[in-house]
Amino acid sequence: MEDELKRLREVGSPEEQALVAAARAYEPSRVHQDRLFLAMGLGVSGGLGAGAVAGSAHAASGLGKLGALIASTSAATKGLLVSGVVAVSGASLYGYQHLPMRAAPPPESASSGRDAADVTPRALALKGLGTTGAKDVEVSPESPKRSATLQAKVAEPPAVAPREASPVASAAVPAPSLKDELSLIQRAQVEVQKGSGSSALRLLEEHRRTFTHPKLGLEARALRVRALAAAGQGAQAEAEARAFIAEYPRSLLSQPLIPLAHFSDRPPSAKPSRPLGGPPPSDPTP
Amino acid sequence: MIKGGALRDVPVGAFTPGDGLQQNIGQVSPEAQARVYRAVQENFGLVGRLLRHSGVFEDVDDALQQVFMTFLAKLDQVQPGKEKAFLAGCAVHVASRHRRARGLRVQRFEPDPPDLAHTGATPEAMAESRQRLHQLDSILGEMDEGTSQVFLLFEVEELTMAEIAESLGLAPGTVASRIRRAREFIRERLTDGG
Repeated sequence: MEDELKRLREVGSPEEQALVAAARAYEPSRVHQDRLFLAMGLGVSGGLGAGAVAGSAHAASGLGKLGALIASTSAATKGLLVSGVVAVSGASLYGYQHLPMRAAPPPESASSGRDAADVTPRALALKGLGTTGAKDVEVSPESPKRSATLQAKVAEPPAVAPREASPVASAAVPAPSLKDELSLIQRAQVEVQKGSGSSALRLLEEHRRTFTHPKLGLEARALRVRALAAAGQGAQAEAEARAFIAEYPRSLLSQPLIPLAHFSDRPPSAKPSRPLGGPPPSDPTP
Repeated sequence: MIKGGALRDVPVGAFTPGDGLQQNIGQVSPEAQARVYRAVQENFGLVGRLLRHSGVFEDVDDALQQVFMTFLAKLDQVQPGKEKAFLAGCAVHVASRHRRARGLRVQRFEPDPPDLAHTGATPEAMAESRQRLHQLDSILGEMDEGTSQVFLLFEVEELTMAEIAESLGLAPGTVASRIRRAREFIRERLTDGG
């Protein structure tokens, strides 16, 4: 029967063939692929998988929450991007310490007894969007839908110590790319993971100043809430968390902010001893 | 073995904790992670095309994630080498659910012309491609959904009839008849100037 039904390119009219050819030639944008990799933890957070498999119950537990967060991505989110940045943020709030996005280890140390590691997701991810992914992201043009309005909604950051203008802000880069933006957000993410809320806030302020039409504005805003918490500004974090959740109640970005929004409602004994948004008390990951 | 019926139970748009899809990339073995990575790399274009040609013009990220998260959740059920068929079947199913959720059974045109700038094609080629895609949208939009699914899988993605039968849970004879029906429909539409 397979022989009976030849493909249209073999038996169809020129018009039919042209139609099929156009359908075949269509390629989805790489932007979608990048986002998919990020959301699935195959990209920037490529270390996530390795971390969990490496085997701490703590990490596995946290990844369960992360997985739920990622898996709950749906049409109900109204298209809000679930980036790896956000996913990792959520995981951290629930106590998971993801592997920081540090420089990729040399292949020999990464493989450690495994065959060249070329087939491991970590190594594979490094080829695309791995731990150095911010520099490797291939960016395609994309029409920003929400950035302008979101940018205006980002609250003013707290006062921080005066510092020199950042290279990113001062450099004469006419149009910062999504790659640059993602890199900056990731740096802030890492600072939050380290519990350096103030540093994260500085980076987010840099992001605000540099990217007047951010594509990751909403992600930056959610991350700022966590940075505030990590910096010990619990009241401000709570207020901004509540505002964010009220504004985007169905957003996946809101889910990890819920504990922050109700922080003052908790009994003192239930409050963590460490700053919210920061790393867990102990990091069992290698 | 892929169970075609299993996909019908996937609650598209309702991927919430507790529905069996909470498994994530961090909870599978390194080998499985590598398999997922390869599957995404090798089949992203296929899934993206199927979603687009099946009428998913918005919320593309959501749909893509649903397809591949379903693959991740059902990794154990997908035989090695059958990833393409599984993902193709999953993509048309997810697309179907997306369209129904948005009431797009009748209107199935992409609201904006497809962005083909990333393809590197010349402006003339892009214009022609857009025209053809619009024509394709028009024809597939009037075609019975089951028929258009089989058409896309067979003609565009070049799956074998056996793969289509397996991925959609159809009898081979049904696949063949739908292919013939799709061709007749397309010929008629092209003859009519559609």
